[in-house]
Amino acid sequence: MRARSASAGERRRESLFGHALRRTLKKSKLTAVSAILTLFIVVVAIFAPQIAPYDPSVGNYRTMLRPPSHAHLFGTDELGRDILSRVVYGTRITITIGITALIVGIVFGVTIGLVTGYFGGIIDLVGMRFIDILLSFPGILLAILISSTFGGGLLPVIIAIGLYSVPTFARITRGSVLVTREKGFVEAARAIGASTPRILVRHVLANIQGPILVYATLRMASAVLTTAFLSFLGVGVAPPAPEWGLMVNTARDFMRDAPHVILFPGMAIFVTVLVFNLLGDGLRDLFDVQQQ
Amino acid sequence: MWGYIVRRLLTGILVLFGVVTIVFFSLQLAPGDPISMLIPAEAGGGANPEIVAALKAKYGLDRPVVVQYLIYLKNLARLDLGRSISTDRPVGEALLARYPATLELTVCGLLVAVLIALPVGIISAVRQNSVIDNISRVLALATTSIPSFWLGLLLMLLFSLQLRWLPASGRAGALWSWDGLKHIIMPAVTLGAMATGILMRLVRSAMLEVLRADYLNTARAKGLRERTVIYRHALRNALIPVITVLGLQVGTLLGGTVVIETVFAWPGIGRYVIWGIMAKDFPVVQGAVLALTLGFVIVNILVDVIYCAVDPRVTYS
Repeated sequence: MRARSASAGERRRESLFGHALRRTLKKSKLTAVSAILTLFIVVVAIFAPQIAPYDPSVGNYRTMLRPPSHAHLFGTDELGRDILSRVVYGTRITITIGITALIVGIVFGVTIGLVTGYFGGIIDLVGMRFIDILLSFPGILLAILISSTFGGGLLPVIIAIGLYSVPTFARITRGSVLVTREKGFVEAARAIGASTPRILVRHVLANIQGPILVYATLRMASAVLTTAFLSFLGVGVAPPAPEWGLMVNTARDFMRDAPHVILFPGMAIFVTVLVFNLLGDGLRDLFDVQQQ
Repeated sequence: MWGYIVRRLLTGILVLFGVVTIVFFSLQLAPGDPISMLIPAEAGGGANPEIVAALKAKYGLDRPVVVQYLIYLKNLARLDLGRSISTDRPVGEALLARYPATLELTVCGLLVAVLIALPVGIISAVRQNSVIDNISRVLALATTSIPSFWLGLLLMLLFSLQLRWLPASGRAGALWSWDGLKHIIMPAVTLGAMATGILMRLVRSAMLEVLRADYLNTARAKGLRERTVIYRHALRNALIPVITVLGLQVGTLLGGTVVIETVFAWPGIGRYVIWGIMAKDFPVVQGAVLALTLGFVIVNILVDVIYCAVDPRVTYS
């Protein structure tokens, strides 16, 4: 992972997104398209009540399992609810879980990474062993366990996915800290008497925001997938919430006669994950972050 | 080398111990207890308190948590995983009965991933920026982004419900029998897809890196055929990083069996975990998670040992 010089880091901090966007548009059209699609997904999440044509939770026994039509673009589900409206509202759930879980993952992961990487020694050893144990669980299994431990629902899913991302962020941060720690500007900051927390936040952290942003975007893709997995397995968001994985799970018994009931919610997951993966890849090239 | 293997084994045991501990205490935190899941409340009141107390005593659930934990560890040291609270059968027995199914599925899934990722990744790298390269990159991105349960259901919709070529669920007989093979195709493809994208990308980037190396020019300069240069000189070196990631992908696949086995009603450990979680059957969840993690730990130790064997630059330290 290449770290940039202090002055470049300072300059970049002011217009990180503006600068990144301008360069993206110039360099890669695909990344620009995925950035626009990401924005679209966020807009759908925010304005779900305005966009959705029907109430996502109100069923109608006269319109059960109807195929796509003018009245219902994505058709209706087994309770006669409009699938398009449910998919639109589902964006809210997915984005909320994704972003909050990422914040949990970043806060804990980056803190562990900063502390273990900067201080080294016994702290590093214990911290990294703990991370190793977390990593030696097959990931999804850990999420299933945590989510079911706290009884399913929105908050447990957030905690599960957040903790599940902690090791990734801890490792990236630690790796970057180990490189940055030896740089001249950190030594200079120490020489003028800056306190350790100040050095960590203002100098070390400021210089690794690129890789963190890249991995956060890629993690967002996996957070969306994991949320859907958990709900599909029945240990995630509880019914009747219009969560995409849950919609696929409850509708799968009817897919023989009405394939559209699993088609559209699944497509929503697929497209959202694809968009975040594309954006993450694009940002990785942009920030020149090497894959670890 | 033996010292290294012993050290890796000890770390593996430490990891398993950590996993057992985390799983044990997180299950204790979970709301609801196995006994109340087992006996339904009687009409007009709760379950008969005497029966509940007797059952709790039978499974040791009336003791303090720490004592329960120590007893569990003691039994574990004798390879006794306890009894399932819902079925009153030994968990170890149930796991042994289910292990072949999960092993079979994981190996077949891995095989699917490798058989697709290796050739496509190589061609992609050798003909960088060609049409094939672009298609394979799209394919890699798509397979990493598609929710596997959805892919499984789509395959089921097409090949079982529409075309009626393959059975929709379950496992039948040996893998080498026609019926057994027909049953595993869809689960294996769905599971394999989870690892294909990552593997394909890695093979491609590892090959690209190696293809730039000077020793390939040397090989070409001494007049070797391009085929020999690519398969004997480039591929062998490109495979070294691939082996490590392959080991990590086994973890993804083992975790993935939980989802795939649920979709295709595959009678393995993954489905057993979900069943245990739903029934709050602590010993079942403990045992099943331990079994899956054990598989992952063993594979990773093997990978590390193989890694040192194939790359003489890596020392056993």
